[in-house]
Formats: sequence, structure tokens, C-alpha cells
Amino acid sequence: MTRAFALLSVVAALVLGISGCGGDSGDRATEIIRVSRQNNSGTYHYFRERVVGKEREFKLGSIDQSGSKDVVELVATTPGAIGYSGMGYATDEVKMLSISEKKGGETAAPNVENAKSGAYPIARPLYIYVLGEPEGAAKHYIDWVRSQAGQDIVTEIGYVPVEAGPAVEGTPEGEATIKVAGSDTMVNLAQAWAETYTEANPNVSPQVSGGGSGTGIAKLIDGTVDMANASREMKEEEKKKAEEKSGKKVIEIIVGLDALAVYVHKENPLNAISIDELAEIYGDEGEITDWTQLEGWPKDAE
Amino acid sequence: MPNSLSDGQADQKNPKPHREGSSFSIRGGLDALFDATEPIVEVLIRLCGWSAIVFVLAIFVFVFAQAFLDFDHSPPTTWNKIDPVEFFTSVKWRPDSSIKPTYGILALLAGTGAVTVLSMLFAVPLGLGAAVFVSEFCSPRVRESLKIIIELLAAIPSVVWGFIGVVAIGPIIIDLGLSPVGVNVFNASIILALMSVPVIVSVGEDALKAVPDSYREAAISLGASKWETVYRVLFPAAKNGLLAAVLLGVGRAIGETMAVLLAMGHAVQIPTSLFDPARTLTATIASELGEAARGSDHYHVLFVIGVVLFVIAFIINLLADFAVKGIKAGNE
Repeated sequence: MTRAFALLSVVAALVLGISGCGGDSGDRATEIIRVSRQNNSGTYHYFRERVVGKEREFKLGSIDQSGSKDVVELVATTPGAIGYSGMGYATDEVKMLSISEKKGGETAAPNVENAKSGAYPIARPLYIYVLGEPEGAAKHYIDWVRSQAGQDIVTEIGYVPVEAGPAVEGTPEGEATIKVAGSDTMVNLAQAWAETYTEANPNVSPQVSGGGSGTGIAKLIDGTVDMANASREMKEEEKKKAEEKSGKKVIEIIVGLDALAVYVHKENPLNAISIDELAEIYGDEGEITDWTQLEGWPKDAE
Repeated sequence: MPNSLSDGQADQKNPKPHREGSSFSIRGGLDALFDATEPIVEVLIRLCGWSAIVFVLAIFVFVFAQAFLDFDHSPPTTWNKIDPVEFFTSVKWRPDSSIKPTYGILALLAGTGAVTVLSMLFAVPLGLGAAVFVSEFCSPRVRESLKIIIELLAAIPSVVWGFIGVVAIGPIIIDLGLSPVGVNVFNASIILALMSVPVIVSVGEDALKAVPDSYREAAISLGASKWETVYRVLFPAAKNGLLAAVLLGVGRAIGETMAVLLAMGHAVQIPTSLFDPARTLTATIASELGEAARGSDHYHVLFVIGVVLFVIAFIINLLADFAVKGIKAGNE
């Protein structure tokens, strides 16, 4: 009998605990839920350097998602959430915020024109890294990516094109496979490139996988892929390692720009945010934990 | 085909002598075959038994070597930089920091502990209750269909469970106003509980079935009600098996990776309420091992987490062993 009572009291405690914890959700209604990325993501590293600060850590306790798309999906289902991800991942369920450098400064909407002109402050280059001057099919592929045809796809997917190179003619000789791995941000883009490229050059098949910029670069160093997509610059130590291991120089090719968007739930009344405020939300010991602390938060909203 | 057909016909026409003759020769042949192959089969079976031990040892050696040895078999420099006390008592898990990497697993331990305890609070009553119902209270027909459905529950891949947590349970938690975040310890606990229930039910039901019917008959003839029979007779008699069922459930909950990675929010912090996101040891290894360069500090530390999980599993098994032995001694 005593045991039955013990069981009952555990259940009772649990129920009380649940309802008790539910009780403080009233205070938490305007709490900012930080959604971030896992540390193998180029987006994560870029965001830290550009927004949080080179000498500052992320505040621990953010919800770390493993993919660019996951961030947007979680923000879409969580009213109090804020997240950052590539501009190309926008859906109807989320809202992208305009960004200003300083509090109260001029804001710029995340779109292609603003990113190209530099008015939008958080746009970053997208890279392809190869070891040694590319030859044959790899060279043909990269030249094609840099050409008008390749850059049109950049626009189509939702990124910002760079100055197009000369058009590429002919197809490379013989059968070839090009193994590409890396940035999650660039997976959509790289797959679209691969599909269109293979239509014109059926003897070459680029195989694209994601995993994050760091993973792609690690694979390039290990020699298991021919090129790495990266949404961040390769670190000096990574370059050194790759050159030591392969004896070839690391070649960097900029293939597009990505405007990083700051996403909130579609019903969030906020429209713009400054980099300073973002740093206080995401940075270690940052002071902003509640939406009402933000400059752009409407005063009459609950 | 034609041969076997004619054999069958011959069998029907004149069954007796034919069968005797053939069975004699087959038996003779088989006997000879068994005699000849017995030593080989014995060695094979022995190998199967030993291989389990060999695999466990090999995994043990591999994980420890990756954690504590470099590729030139010397202790890695990682261990000059990491203070073991800090490793277990710091919540700062920043393995990839470009400023100063810190490796503290307290938050991850807390995450694993919280989700395991909470999921067992859901799963043990549910699982044991279901085991009692399936074994004692329901009709044979209901039992068979229930068992099939419960086993189906065990066949759902963990990534699907995680997905259910994110897209189904998460929004419900937000809609009910329980928490502004859908992916949290509570969500993951429900998922984990549902994942461990099938294990608890099938092992628990076996344990209850193993109690001889004479116990039930004796209890009923003494005037015990059905509930009294279960609570006073069957539970004590099946203690060992039921404990094993619960501990298998605990093992499943601690080891689960993909579902908690998705449904728990993967946030490095000690959860202070049921509805805080948190992160487990297993999910950390899964999400970061791909990124950690082989031989780096981060890589070694992830394998140390593997060792920690190993030790936790070992302690649980040891406790289970002691508990089972203690119960046995108490019964005698």
C-alpha cells in the first residue's frame, strides 16, 4: 500500500510540476527564443564574426539546428523565435527583418539589389575551393558556374550573382565524375548547377552533398572530394593542412553572394533590427532576452 | 520435381515399407553427417559465443584509444589543456571557439539525465501497466493484436520519432501555452517514453508469463482479487524480469540519439524547467563528430564523451546485476 502511495505522489508531483512550469509561460510570452546553427556551419562562423563580434562567444543555450532549412522551419512554428539563415530559404511562414548597422540607423531590406550594392550589411561571398589549378572537367565546370548561365541559376535560387565570366563552349572529353561536398547553405544551389550542367554535358556528373562548410573542407583536405563548397573563408590552418597533405595550392573561387536573413515568425510585429541589437541577443553575456527590449518593437504590442 | 512427385505417389500407394526403408537410410546418413561435423559445429557455436565478448572488448579498446591516445600512440596534447574537474563541472561547451575552446560537459550530462529520468517516469508506469494488461487481463485475441501493434511501435525508426516530436508535439506544446518553445526536454521525454514502452512491455510480459499458473490459482483460491493477485503475487514473483525490463528501457533512453537531437532543441544549458531545450551526450557526438578533424582536441574530447557513456552504461548494468542478485538472495 505504501508503494501505491509513493507512486501516486510521484504522479501528483509531476502534474503539479507541469502545471507549475506552465504557469510561468505568461512571463515568457515575449521571451526571445534564439535559434542558431551547429558549429560545423559556415553560416554560424560568419554570423559570429560579422554580428556577434570576433572576440565574443555565442551565448550558450540557443537551439542549435543542423540545417539552414531547419532554422526556418523551427522559426515558422515558434512564435517567439528569431533565427538566421540564407536568404534563399525564406518561406511564407516566416518574415525577414530589415537590418541596420547601428540602432536607429538606416535599414536595408534583404534583397538582391541591396546585397549587390552593399547596402544590406550581412551578405557574404560563397566559395568553391579546389586543390591545385583545376583542369579538364573540373575547370570546365567551374568556368561554367562563373559564366552567365551559372550565375542565372544563382539568381533563380535566391542568392546574389557575381560579375559573370565569359561563356563556356564545348564539353570536356571523356566520362568524368566531380565530387562536391560542403556548405549546407549552398546545397540547393550546387544541386541546381549540377542538374543544368549535366543536361548540357551528359558525360560529366557532378555529385553534390552537404554537411556544412567545415565538413566539405575537411573532405577536401582528406582528398575524398574534388571540390568544397564553403559559405565561409577557409581558415589559415586548414589551408596549411591541405597544402601540406596534397602538395598543391588551395585555389579559392567566389561563385556568388549570400545575403544572410534574420527570420522571425510571420506574426511577429517587429520589422527591423540593428546589428548591435542582434549582438546583444546572440552574444555571450548579451543583455537582450525579451522582444520588448528592442527599439523596433511596437510600444502598444503586448 | 518429377522425382519428388513419383516419390510421393509411391508413398501413398505403399507407404509402410517405403517410408521405413528411406527413413532408415536417411537417418543413417544424417547420423554419420552429425558424427563427422559435430566438432566443427561445436567450434562454430563456441566462436559465436566468444565473438560477443571479442566485439565488446574491441569497441572498448577502440573508444578508449581514440579518447586517450594519439595516432603515434602517445597521449595527445589535449590532456595538457583540459582540466578533468572543469570537464565535469563546467557548463561551457564551446569546442570550436576561435578565441578559447572550452570543454565542459555538465550541461550535456544534465540534459541526458533529465530526459532519461523524465521519460522513465512516463514509460515505466505505462509499460508495466500495459504488460500486466496484456499478460493478465485481456482475452487472447486482444492480446495478439495488441502485441503486434506494440511491436510495430518498436519498429518505427528513431528519426521518424524525432520528426513527430518537432512537427506534431512541438506545436501542441506551444498551442497549449505550456512553453514558448516546442522542442524541449518534455517533448523529447514523451518521444523517448513511447520508444521505450515496447521494450518494457515485451520483456515485462515475458517475465509475468514466466510466473507459474499455480501461483495464480493459489492466490485466487485464497480469495485474492485479480488486482491483489497481480500486486501481491505476480509482481514479487516476477521482480527480476520486471527490473530487467525497466533497465532495458533506461538503456534505450540513454542511448537514443537521433530522436532527442531533433525533439530536444539541442541547446547547451542545464534545463531548469520541464520545458527548457537541452542537449544530450549522444546527440553532441552525432552532430559534431563529422566536423571534428581527426586527431584534433575536439575529436579526442568527443571520444571521451563516448567513454563517459560507456561508464554510465556499465554502472547501470552493474546495478541491475546487483539488484537482481540481491532480490534472489532475499527470496531464498
